[in-house]
Amino acid sequence: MSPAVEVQGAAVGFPGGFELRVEALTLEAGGALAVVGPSGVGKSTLLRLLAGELLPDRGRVWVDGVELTALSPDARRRHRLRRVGFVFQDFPLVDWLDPQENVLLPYRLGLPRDPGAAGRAAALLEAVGVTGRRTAVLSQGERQRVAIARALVTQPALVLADEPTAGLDAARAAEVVGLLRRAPALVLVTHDPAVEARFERVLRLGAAP
Amino acid sequence: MIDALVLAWRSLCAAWARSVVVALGVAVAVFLPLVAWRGEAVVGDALRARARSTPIVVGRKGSDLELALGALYFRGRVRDPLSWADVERLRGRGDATVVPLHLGATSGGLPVVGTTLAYLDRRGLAVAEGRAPAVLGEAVVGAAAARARGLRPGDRVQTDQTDLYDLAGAYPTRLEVVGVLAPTGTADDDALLVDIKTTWLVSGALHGHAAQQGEADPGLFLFAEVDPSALASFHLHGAAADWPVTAALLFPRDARAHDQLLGELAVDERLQAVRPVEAVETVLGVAARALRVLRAMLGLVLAATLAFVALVAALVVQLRRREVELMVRVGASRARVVAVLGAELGLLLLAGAMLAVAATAVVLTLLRGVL
Repeated sequence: MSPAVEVQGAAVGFPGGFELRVEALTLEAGGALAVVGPSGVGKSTLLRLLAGELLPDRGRVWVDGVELTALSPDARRRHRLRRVGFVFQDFPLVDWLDPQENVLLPYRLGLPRDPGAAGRAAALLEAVGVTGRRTAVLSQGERQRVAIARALVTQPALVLADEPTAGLDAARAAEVVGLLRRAPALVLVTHDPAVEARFERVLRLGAAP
Repeated sequence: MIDALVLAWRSLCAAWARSVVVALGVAVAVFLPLVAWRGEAVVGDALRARARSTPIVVGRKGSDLELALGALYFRGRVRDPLSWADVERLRGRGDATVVPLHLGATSGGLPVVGTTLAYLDRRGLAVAEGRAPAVLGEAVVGAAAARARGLRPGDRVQTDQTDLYDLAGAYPTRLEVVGVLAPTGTADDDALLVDIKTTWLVSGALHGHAAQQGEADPGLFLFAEVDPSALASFHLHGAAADWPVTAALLFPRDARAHDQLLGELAVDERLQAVRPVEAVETVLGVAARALRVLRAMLGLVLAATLAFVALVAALVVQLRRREVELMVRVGASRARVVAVLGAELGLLLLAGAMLAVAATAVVLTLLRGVL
């Protein structure tokens, strides 16, 4: 079985001389990885590399056995839509869609029809405790839980979560992390030591000496 | 595409007030030039069709437009009428069917048109209910007039008082409705057609003596209603040659007769012959010049509205930047995002255009009804 994530000798440069380097990283299917480090060190950039939104200047990246660095931009986008779930920091949902429609949004954005999707969405919303409400009236925690359901509904090989607990209290943060741990493989960026403590594997990014 | 349409529809419904305002703005901007363009065509076609069906109108020398519009649409007032002798003279030529028209009287604002049965034949008017007028005091009503006033055969209508201070005659006269015409979409729909002698009765030129005025006083009085038992007593004072006729419609036997009539009447000292087609084209030419200015202004309105819609679209995209970013990060293609936003704009434009077309259809229907 292919690893969920494999990175070899990847480096991304930014204006001003800063460079994110990941010499070797492997995350097996079923694994979970917390990425920590000071602001501006490249945590979100790493997630964008794994999502295929960004290509490294050198090195290679595989996700679910597919080498992203060998794909065209459109193929990477399709791979992301099918195989990667994304949970963002700022709880973005589409307010004019109800929670169920928000969860099913990937299927409106290009995923092929899946007869089981609606059932899975309902079950996920039940599991995250958001049913029968309008999106606009949901609290931040509820919005993030709906976003997690959206990331999981496509049965992705990998879920990427960029500071999903920012702004949530400890109890809500624990709930969110618990839900995210249902993902087949998870890479989660956090600043929160309590969240970090729930991961067996932690990748610490820091400035190069 | 269906997914894009569903998302677009849901977004428009969520911001329904904004959607309605934009759609109405588009509708107004499309409606104004559309109704001006189609209205011009409808009015022109209707005027031309009526004019083409009337080869020549003869009247006393004067305004040709006034004569043509009066004879075709029963509008305006022809001040200087022909005489019955003129009609007889034209008939005597034998090269055209001559249909006299006498106008001036109204009933509830509707024109009372005095003519002969030949008018019904020449205009292709069919009596849908009842029969054509046969004797003095009977009227057949146009379809729209009958509908508007709820008239049916057997009802009575009264002509309007034309001059309150004319003690010599012109009293309101009660007419019996004996028939209703089938609709034609022309000015005949809004008129009451009577025998030409009835219009002379209404104007006071014709009068009768009552049969049952009592032995002591078998005097003269002016009838407000034609009593069938007194029909034989109706008579005109003065020479028959002087009875007034507003205009005569001429339907020449052939092209040669047509040209001959026009040629001879062109040098007549008292009469003029008008080709309604030319009169209508003159009117339409004047209207077209005014419409060009109107069209230019409406073009500006359309351009301003489209600019407004473009501005709203740009603002909406700005406001929804996070939504767009979310869609792209989840994995939507740029084409899909453009399709969603484009579908919203397309639905608004479509709704506006459909409203405009529906409103135009209603206005054109009303317009056809009044022509």
